[in-house]
Amino acid sequence: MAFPIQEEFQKKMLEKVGVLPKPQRFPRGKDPMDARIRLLVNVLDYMRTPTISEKDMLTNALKRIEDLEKAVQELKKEEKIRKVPSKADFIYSKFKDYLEKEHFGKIVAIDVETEEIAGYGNSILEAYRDATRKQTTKNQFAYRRVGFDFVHKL
Amino acid sequence: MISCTSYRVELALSKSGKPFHEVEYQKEEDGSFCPILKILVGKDKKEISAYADTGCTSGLSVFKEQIEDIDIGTKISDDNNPTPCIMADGHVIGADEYLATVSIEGEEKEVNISVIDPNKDMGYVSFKAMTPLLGRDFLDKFDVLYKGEEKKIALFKC
Repeated sequence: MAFPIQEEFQKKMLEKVGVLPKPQRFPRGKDPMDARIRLLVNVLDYMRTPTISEKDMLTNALKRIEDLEKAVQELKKEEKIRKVPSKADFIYSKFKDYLEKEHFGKIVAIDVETEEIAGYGNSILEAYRDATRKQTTKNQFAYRRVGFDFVHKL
Repeated sequence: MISCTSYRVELALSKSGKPFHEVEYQKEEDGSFCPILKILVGKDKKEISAYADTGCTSGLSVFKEQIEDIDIGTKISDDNNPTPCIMADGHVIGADEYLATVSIEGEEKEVNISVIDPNKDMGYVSFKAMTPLLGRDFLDKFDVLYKGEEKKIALFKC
């Protein structure tokens, strides 16, 4: 079985979704009434067809497909960028406005149990030491850099 | 001062202005010369060869598989909330943080070690947020001194 080349396939798809006019709907018959209906339908199809040439329409349609493919790629990229938030992210977002106003660029140690910001610092160790100085019962925290989606650069 | 003519790494200067540690760049399998240092990590003083990477903000960054049998120190991060670490391609991967000692030639420092777990995928950041990398094809044309305490970088003509 011969498979249509990509251009033919695209053209067929465009005809199917109505971007390009469909081929004549009535096959040639011997009945004069059929012939009149066929003529009427063909005239109507012709009237619906824009005045630009079929080649230009195909070019425009292919351009549109290209634009849509680009849009899909952009959406896929955005989807990749969107991370799944953890509990620490939710706690961070609770204090976001205050933190980004007062501690932009600092690292915060987040206590995920009490849902509080436990410590601040210029590094993870500074934030950790600040947090453990204030409360000695806990020694594991989540860390976030204020205003950024990452803590470390590697 | 650091010399680049013989691919030497002079990592730290003493108060007298002389380095306490100096090694040749190591030639890697691909033929490139790299500033690789041997350090001792954790309670067991396990020797690890690590790339001297000034773009890395962690004290030491290793992959989970690389240190599975080493007691590196005290874990200070929450199990379910890893630290987001951004890779050079914008990929963000989660890491567990440890408080550990790293030493070189008797100089022992307390640092954080980030143990990266590739299974903890945390998405991507926009490429616009990435900083371009100034590599050694440029830097190796100078003697470079990183003034850690002063947070300065100094370039000397070779």
